[in-house]
Amino acid sequence: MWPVLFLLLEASAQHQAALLAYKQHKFPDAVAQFTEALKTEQPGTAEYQESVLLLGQSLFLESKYADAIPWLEKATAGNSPPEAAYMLGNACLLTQQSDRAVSAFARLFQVSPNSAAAHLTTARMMMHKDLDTEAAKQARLALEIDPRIPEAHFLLGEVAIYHADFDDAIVELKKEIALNAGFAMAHYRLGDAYGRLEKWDEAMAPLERSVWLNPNYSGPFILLGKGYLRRKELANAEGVLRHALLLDPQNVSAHYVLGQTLMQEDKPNEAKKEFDRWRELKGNN
Amino acid sequence: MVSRNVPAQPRGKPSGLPFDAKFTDIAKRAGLREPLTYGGVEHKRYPLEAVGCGCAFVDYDNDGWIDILLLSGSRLDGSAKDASNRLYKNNRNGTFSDVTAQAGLLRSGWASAVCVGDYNNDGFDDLFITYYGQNVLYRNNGDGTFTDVTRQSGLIHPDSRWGSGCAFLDYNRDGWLDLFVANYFDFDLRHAPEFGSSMYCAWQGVPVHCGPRGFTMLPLALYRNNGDGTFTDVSESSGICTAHRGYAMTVAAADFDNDGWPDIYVACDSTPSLLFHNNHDGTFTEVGLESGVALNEDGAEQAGMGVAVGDYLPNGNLDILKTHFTDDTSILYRNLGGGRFEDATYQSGLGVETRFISWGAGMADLDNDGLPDLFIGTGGIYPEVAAKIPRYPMKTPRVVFRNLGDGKFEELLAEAGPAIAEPHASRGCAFGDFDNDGDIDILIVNLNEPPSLLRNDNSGRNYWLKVKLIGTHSNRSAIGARVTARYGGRVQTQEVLSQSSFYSANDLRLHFGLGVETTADLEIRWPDGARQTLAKVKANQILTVRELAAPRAN
Repeated sequence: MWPVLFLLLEASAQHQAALLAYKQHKFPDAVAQFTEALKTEQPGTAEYQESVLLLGQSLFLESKYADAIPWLEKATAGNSPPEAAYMLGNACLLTQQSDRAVSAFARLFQVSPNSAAAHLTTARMMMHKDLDTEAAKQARLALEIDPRIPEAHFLLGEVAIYHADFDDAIVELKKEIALNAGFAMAHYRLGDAYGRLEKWDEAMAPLERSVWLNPNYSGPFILLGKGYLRRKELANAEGVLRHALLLDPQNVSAHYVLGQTLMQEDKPNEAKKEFDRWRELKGNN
Repeated sequence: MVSRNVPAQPRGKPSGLPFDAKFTDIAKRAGLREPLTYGGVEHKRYPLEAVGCGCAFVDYDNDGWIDILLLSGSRLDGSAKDASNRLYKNNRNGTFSDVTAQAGLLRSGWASAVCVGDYNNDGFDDLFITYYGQNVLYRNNGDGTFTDVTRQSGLIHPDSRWGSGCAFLDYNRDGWLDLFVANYFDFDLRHAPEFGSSMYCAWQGVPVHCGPRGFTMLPLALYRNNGDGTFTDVSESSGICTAHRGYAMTVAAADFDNDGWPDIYVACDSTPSLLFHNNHDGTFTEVGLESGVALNEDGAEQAGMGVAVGDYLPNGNLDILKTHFTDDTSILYRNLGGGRFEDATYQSGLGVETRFISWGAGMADLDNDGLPDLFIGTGGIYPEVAAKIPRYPMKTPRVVFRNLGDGKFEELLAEAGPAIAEPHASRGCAFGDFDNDGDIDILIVNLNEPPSLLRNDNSGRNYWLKVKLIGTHSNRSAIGARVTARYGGRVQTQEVLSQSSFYSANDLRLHFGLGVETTADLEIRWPDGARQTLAKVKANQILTVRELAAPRAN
């Protein structure tokens, strides 16, 4: 009895040491300690499950994604916090295992792994990791399953803008708007695509729609400001840019474009304030 | 150096229009065979080794044939003790002879930029060369030799500095060329941060030499010419050194707001570029942000190395092209008049090219069709990155954008001759007509290689006119003089500049392509404001115009 009790106490101490290392963000130590702990912990016990989970997470946080995957998969097979599925999904993305990533994100977002939503959420997670080409593939897979799924065409439009394929972007974003007319970001990005082609006449309407749908985001206001400035509608430019700065007072681009607008309106003193603010925000005094 | 990491815009269909200018690199047969030493080849430990230098087309002997000056650097390990700037005399037959020693221009060191101007009004163009260390003023003695007169002219600075761009200009319009000098940043080889040692010393995840971020910016300097061979430092009283600072590179002094007085534009690396507006009273006000030439249209900083000045629309206003880093575009600032500019990069079609680090640049009519084109020399700065990431090589091709008219350009990938595609680690370039055949040739600095001399073989029948100006009561070099040419409904303005491109000096003769027009009307505005008009000047000639002897009432 005593040797068993001793072993139990020692195992518990090992687990505690591993936990402490994890909480202190000493992940190499945590990996070593949890690995050791798992040699004696009983599968099915709470301690064991926690060791599996935190070993997987420690390996992930150490950027050892391939090593983390089997532990995270084991952890997510049972009850596990959402972070486990998040890390598993990202580990699969970063080791180019898209299919496994789709399963992980489906679990995370509580959708069926074969659904359009699973592919689309994976696509969005891929965009966060700058895996834009892969993201586009996943978005297309989502559309094959459900051609009317919202935001898939939007994502394709975003990728197209990133690759400077502005004509393609316009096609995709218009498709998104046809399905999802209330999506402010789609209108914004459509305006953005036209703006990048220097087609400001076409850009203005979607940008206006964007702000009417969502008046709380500065991006379309700033782009409207650029468009008005380009079209020499200076009073309008000043108005929307000032509004953008109410929403986002530290936006250097808005300050700069407003400054240029004020210069063209022959208001040099007010322009100087905007340029001074640009310098302050940039630490460029 | 900062980059916006923007993708290139889609190219669109080529126009299919013929381009009459074809460039061939004839440097070797012209006698320009000496490699230009500048820092390590496989490894550049410090930024000093990477930035490079400029060159000049300068008619130092006044024989009507432009000669060549190539600046030089050195090696940190001391293995390049014989590396020197080189002066090549034009033999007038397509070849050049090295006359550096006879001219008294042998000098080792880390040269940066050259600006040209007759500071003592003796009729011979002098040279000011900036260095890491001490800048040098060379007085042209008029007999094929130069003398270092830095000390006696009052241009010695007490501390060691990393000199960058410079320009002679007559800022007070008294007939004597003054001197503006920029500095890159506060860099001391003895105490410089080591390669790869901080966040400012890595690019694309690869350790590289440091900077410019992390280094202290230095003040700029303005020296007023006293008219007796000496200069007085007026940096403070003029407002130049109390104004905003940047990591200053190329300087271009010209009248950007059409008020008759020269202003000063300074391309700055990773920081807002600077435009010093001449207040007409001996002082300047820095107005880069207000004028729209400090940043791009979104208020973002860019790398900012070289500057080309010209009238690309053309409409009588001087526009600016500034060159930048890879994964970014060069920027074209269209002059709106009244001292204001707008970023016309994407509208003009320049957004299609983001592949290369761009340095020297010119806005010159390469095919003589009456519309100034754009030429850019490119080259890498990180051999360590080039070794690991093939997408960022050290040697990259030249870039030519032909002017389509209506403010639009088209990049020519193969149409401008074989020399355009040849990859080099280029830096400064100078534009001029070395063979006096009526088209613009290009001299290019290539680091650790011989230079390139791109001879323009223009097969078209377009007409041209070259104008050489000689000041009498204005400075003899006519720096700051402006010529506005009217031909076939077009109006194009150019000014005589002491420096532009990257750290380089062009042929001081102004070249106009006239297209199909056989004559042009010229209006000359001399630096002191006096004007001269010449009507129906015949094309296909080099016209020398001497300023009228007595100053006219303005």
